[in-house]
Amino acid sequence: MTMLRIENLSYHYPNGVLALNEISLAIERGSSVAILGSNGAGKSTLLDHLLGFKSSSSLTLDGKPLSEYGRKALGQKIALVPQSEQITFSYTLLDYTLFGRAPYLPPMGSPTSNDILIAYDALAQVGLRGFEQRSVTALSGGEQQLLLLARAIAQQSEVLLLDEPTSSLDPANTKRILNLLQELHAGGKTLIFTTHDANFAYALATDIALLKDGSLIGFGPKEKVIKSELLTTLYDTQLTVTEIAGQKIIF
Amino acid sequence: MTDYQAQKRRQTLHLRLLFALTLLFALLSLFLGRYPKAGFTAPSLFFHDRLARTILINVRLPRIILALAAGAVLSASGFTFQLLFSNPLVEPGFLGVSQGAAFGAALMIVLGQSRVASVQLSAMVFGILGLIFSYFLAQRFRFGGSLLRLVLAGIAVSAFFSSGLGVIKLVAEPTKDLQDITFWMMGGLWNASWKSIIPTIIVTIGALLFLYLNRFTLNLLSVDEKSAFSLGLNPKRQRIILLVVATIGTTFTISVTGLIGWVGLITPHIARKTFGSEAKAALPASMIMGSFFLLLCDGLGRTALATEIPIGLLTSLFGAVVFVIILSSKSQGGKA
Amino acid sequence: MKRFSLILALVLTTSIIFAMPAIETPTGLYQATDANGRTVSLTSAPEKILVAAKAALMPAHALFLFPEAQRAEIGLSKTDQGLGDFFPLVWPKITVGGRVDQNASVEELMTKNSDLILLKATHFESLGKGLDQVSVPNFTLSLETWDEWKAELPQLGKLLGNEARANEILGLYEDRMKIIEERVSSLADDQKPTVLLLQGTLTDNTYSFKIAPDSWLQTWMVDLVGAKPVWKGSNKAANGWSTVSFEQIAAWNPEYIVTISYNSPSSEYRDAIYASSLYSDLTAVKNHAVLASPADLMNYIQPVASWVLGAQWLAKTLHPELFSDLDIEAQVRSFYHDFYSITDSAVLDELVGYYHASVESN
Repeated sequence: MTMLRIENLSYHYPNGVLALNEISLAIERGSSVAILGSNGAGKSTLLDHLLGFKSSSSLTLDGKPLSEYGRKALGQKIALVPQSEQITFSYTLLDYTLFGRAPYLPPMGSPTSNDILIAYDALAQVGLRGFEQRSVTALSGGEQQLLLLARAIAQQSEVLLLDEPTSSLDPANTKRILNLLQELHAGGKTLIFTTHDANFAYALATDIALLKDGSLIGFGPKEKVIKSELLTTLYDTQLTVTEIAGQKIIF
Repeated sequence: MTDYQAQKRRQTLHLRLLFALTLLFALLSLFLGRYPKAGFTAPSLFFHDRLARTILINVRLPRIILALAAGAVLSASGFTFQLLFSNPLVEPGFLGVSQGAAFGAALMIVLGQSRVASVQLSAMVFGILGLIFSYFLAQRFRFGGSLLRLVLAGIAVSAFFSSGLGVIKLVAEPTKDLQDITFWMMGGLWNASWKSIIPTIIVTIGALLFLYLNRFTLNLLSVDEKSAFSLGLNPKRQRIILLVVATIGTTFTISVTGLIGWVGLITPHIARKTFGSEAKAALPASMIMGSFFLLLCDGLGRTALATEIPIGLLTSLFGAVVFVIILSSKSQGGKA
Repeated sequence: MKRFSLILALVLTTSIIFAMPAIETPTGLYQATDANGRTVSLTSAPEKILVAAKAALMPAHALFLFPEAQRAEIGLSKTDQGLGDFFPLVWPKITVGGRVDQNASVEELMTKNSDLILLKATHFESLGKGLDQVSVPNFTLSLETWDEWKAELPQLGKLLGNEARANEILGLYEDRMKIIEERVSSLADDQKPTVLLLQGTLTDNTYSFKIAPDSWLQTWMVDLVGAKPVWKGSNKAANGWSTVSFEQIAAWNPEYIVTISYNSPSSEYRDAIYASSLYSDLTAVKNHAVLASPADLMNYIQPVASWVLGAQWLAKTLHPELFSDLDIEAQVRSFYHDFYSITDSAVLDELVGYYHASVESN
């Protein structure tokens, strides 16, 4: 059943350059969609639209235009895990995770004990149990990514948007995130993530969208889309898809 | 009960203690002054000296209340600005607000309108204008990220109003008018009377209440705009509203007390250091500490010498010292 | 810069430095040393004199003590403190020379082609030096204390070629002061009333008050007339009027309070004190001893030439029994006659009228 639909989305940067060119996409509930492309392809811009941060009449969620959702209502449905965050103030990990409960709080409200328990669980789920009182400024890059994921988990949304979730991580942390996301997907979350790592995309996604210079050059189940010719076109580099020990490898 | 809740309980207790301490200090301040001699007034005096009673009720009490209110709102504004601009080194004085307010006040004086509410209104208008100019100027800048642009624009606008003030000083008569401008530049609470403080108290309490009720949102706005958006906020609009409220609180206060700086920079820092960065505890702590700090400075300013020491001078003095200490002992890679 | 001994030291040590840019003329009739220790020489009597910059009032007031000033063409910057303009009233022909802006620069002042520019000593750095560099003769006056008047007025006289007149003026001052000093000298310390001079400020419907620095003429004047300035000792280091709280005023609780305002009627502040419930318990208020300070077009309690009238008024007000023969209105009249050679009775009447109005409701 289609959850998120994009119909002929075009977007120009303020300086006039075309960022997205007539993108049409239908994302099913419960699927895991990778938006694959090289840097500057428009992946982040597309993600901004999916978040509702850049508004457009071309996007609908469950049949209703995104722009018609109230802020908190949308926040309860779609959560974002950004690539990184500049953190100036030394909040505790639990404080930070609690921010994820914001869409559920009344206008001038504060988190309840229930919210606190949800936050605790979220941190436990990403493997940061015991670190609740640590300061966020003391985290490594990988730990920060886990924290941002925990916050999004606490948001208890159906959809999880992730912006380059592993781009700055080492293999160990990448694996950690991958496993977590697979868990979340298995638990029913709809994942939409941007990446330029085709291998990661293949490992996590059910469907893949190929974005080149703002245009969609392919979208569909990963087996159909991850083909050498398409990938070569996408990256303007000779790429081959090989199978080794039952795993598809791309380089 | 989780650790977190236990910690929050502890913080609430500490906040209450801090509040009680400040109230106690306020009470003690009632017995501090220049009558009948400098220093402490014996409580027994109030029973048989009518003038002492008058001083207690009509001079000291409104002044102390003004100090508490002004300290709280200046501190809360500083705290708000710091969170909204994700920068622990900003206060209203960094975005042209304070300088605009002082300029507006001085302008009215030199134009001969030093009576009535014209000075206060002018200060408020120019203070808000300072913020608006900073905001729109930042949109035009093509250098740096959005927050840096705002701070740079604020610096430009502050400089503009400061030099405007310099021009006013040049044009003003050397005798009376300039003295009054000096009051605006350095601040003083000696004009506090029941009649004069009522509007300020009302606006201050309004601003403080609004900021307090929205303190959780303040946390979220200190985070990236996109993330704040994803958490169900309307970051641009909410940021503007909170900024305007903080600015109104500040300019209204400045229009009555003259320019008092450093409170908005220092006490939020100390509050965060002792109560953590989370606004739920840190904002009220900041308010209470601001009250305490200003009460301390005013107590000194009105008792130490026969003549009044401008309070802005004292806050700068203590503020600068504390500032150096804070910066010198920064841990964790410079995080607040 | 306000002490006679310091001027002496300045003359010795800086005359070498500052003599250089000064006009190199043979020592003539018109040469004097100014308040900043410079020797200024003129080749002939100045016919176009400009009194420039802020606080021009004080040097101008001193200048007009000399008949030479009345024969010259005078340019003035603003001299109206707020109570009215003295000079046009007394010498209407002043407008011939025209007014000059208070903030006029050196270039602008040059365009006036003056033979001599008079300045307050505080403008030495900003204007005096600059004028020296373009060889425009300029002369500074400080005139903040009686000692400075005694030292500087003869110098001004020398510059105008009439030192005798300066000494005559000083003699007139001393005559008036002597009467005061002699009569109060018999007072024992406890017979001297406590006095508080307060300059009023109105900010946003609220009144606040300031006291003068210890070293200023205002404080000295109270001592002169056989009274005790209660604030003396509290404002030593200040270089300007400093705010005092009501508490402090109450702590002093003086027998007399004299309100001063330089650019509005002093009576306003006196009335405000009487109207205030806060002040009602003070001795001076209860004894109806809060007084507005005297003024005509300038308040008398400041270092303008008419300061001596302020002293006389204060002496008579505080010690009516010692000065019962002193008619202040007559003193005002004779002051303007003797010091400024004003004979027009209409003008004299007007000045006396202003004085009378300033204190009549005391």
